[in-house]
Amino acid sequence: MELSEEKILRTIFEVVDEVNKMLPEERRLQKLPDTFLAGDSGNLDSLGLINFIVELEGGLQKDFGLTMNLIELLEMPEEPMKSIDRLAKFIKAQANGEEI
Amino acid sequence: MSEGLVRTILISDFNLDVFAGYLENDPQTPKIFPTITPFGQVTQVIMDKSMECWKHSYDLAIVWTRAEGVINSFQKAVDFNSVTIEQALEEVDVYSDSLLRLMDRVKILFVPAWTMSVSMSAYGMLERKPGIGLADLLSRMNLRLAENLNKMENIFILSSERWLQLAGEEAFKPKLWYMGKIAFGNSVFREAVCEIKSALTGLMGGTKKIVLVDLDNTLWGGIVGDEGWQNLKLGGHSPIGEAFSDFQKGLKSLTRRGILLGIISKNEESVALEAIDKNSEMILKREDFAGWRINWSDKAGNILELMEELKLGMQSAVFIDDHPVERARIRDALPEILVPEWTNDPMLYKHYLVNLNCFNTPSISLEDKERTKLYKAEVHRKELKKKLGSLDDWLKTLDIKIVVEGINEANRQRASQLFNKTNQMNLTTRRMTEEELVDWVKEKNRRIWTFRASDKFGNSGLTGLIAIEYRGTEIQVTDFLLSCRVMGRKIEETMLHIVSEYGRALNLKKLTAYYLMTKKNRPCYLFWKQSGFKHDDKTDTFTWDLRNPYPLPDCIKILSNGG
Repeated sequence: MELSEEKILRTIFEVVDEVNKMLPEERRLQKLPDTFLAGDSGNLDSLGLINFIVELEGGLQKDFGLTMNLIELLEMPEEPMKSIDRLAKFIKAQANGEEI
Repeated sequence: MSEGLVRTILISDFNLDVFAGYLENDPQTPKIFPTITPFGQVTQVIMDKSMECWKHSYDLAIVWTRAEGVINSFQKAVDFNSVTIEQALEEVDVYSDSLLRLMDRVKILFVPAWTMSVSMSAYGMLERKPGIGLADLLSRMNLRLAENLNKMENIFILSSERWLQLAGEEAFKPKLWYMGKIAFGNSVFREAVCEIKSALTGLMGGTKKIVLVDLDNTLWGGIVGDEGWQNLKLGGHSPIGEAFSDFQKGLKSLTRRGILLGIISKNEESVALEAIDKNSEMILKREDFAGWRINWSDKAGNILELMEELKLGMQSAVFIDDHPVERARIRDALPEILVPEWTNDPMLYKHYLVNLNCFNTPSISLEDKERTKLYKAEVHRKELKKKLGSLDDWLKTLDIKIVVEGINEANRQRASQLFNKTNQMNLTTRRMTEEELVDWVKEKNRRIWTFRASDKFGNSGLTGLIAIEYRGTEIQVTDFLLSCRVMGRKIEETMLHIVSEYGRALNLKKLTAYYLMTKKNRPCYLFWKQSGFKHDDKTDTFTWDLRNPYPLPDCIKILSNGG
């Protein structure tokens, strides 16, 4: 069964909830597709990103049985970690074997 | 440590940023304001008082380390090098000494016990072999650490093994370690925050004191009014019956730690009590309950009445009921009461109870262990009171005897407990640890008297304490504490009598007390208002002219005054 972007977004937003519990109020992430994660305008520092990715890997495994190594995304030129919607699209493509 | 904010310094050999975030954002009180020190510099941070972090003061230090990070011998053992137990323990001694040094800068120290990482258990069946296994070595090291740190009562070793068990597979995330030097998964940090908050609540006197339980389908399976006490699901060979028995055992064990039990049930009282008395599978007996309200009235009203009878504040109660509507009613009507969400699966009742995390206390005294007995005696006193006329007449029949003592080795733990647990009859609500107490009273112009009360129903134990400081011709009462169990029995007046006689013997002129209002100590204010002391409304100061003796109540006999 094909994995929809909407379902992936739901999982990402759950991760956002968890990560927000450890962030100071002014740095908390909004549960919106265009929320920036990494990069110059990103809301997460390096430690925050690591935590976000590890939580997300766990979430994808739990929700969809999907095993993904997302740490590599930090180095990718397409910058899938730049925002939440980019990340969701990337995961969908990977899970469904689509071209990125 | 203020009620609002606990300033906390975090010291570790691994990255505690995530843990600090959870600590700071956790909505439960008390709020924690953490300061993170550079990880991997445990000894430097502890020993170098000139470091930036020590420019501030802290209520609490949490020193959370991995054994392999601070005990070199253990790291060697992890790498299969030959290490003797003695070598490792010597290093633990040195490490313990450094932790003890912290106590000149913080009031309380929490040290999570060392745990094994799953990647370490390489010795298999030899893990517990003395001199070989890592698990054996780590157990010995933890034990030695606990013994060494037990020298100071404000140091607590936290049982972190439990956090790992609760976190399960989430306990260790190798990626977090390799990418961020974070030793544990987020679930472990969340469990740690829960336990630390619970421990702080206990230290600040906020431990729950009573569990109010429903009967049908909570304490036993079935509806006693419909099915009869003979047919209740309890004990025996059925899994459900065994689960209810276990839940009762869990509740009974709480009574041995000083937690009271009460029943709040919609039932016919005679029918319910018959079940408690006659069903041989009942673990809890009638005498295990400090009180009950079993009738068809609103449970909120019943709780109010029972708590009034037991002289307990609403914030000290937990209410357990299988029925969601009853739980919602109590949450709505009495928001100060803790009403945990409850499972409808009796096999999980005991697990839910054990994980409530609201019964943490820094110490357990003899009085704690016998508290239900003491409260039962109080209920007998009440029954007698109903039969009699005036309060004074009733008090005379009680044959109240008081033993007055100063602070000594035998009573200082209980005295410190009174400081930290008493909320209602408490003049200033100053919290003091055992050590602070001993230090405080060392000054020549300071005195503390403790009061043990007994009457014809039993011994209430050390239930009162008064502390004073005198300067020039004036005595100031700095602390006036009385357990709510014995309030209103003229022990309050007896305490003032003792202090006033002391002042008169020293030819002092004035006895004053400044009342500091909190959310909970209005009963103390009401006592002082009618105490006969002159009251200054503007400053909330009470004054007694020591030219006049403050009388000892007729109903009180002082057996010995060793203060």
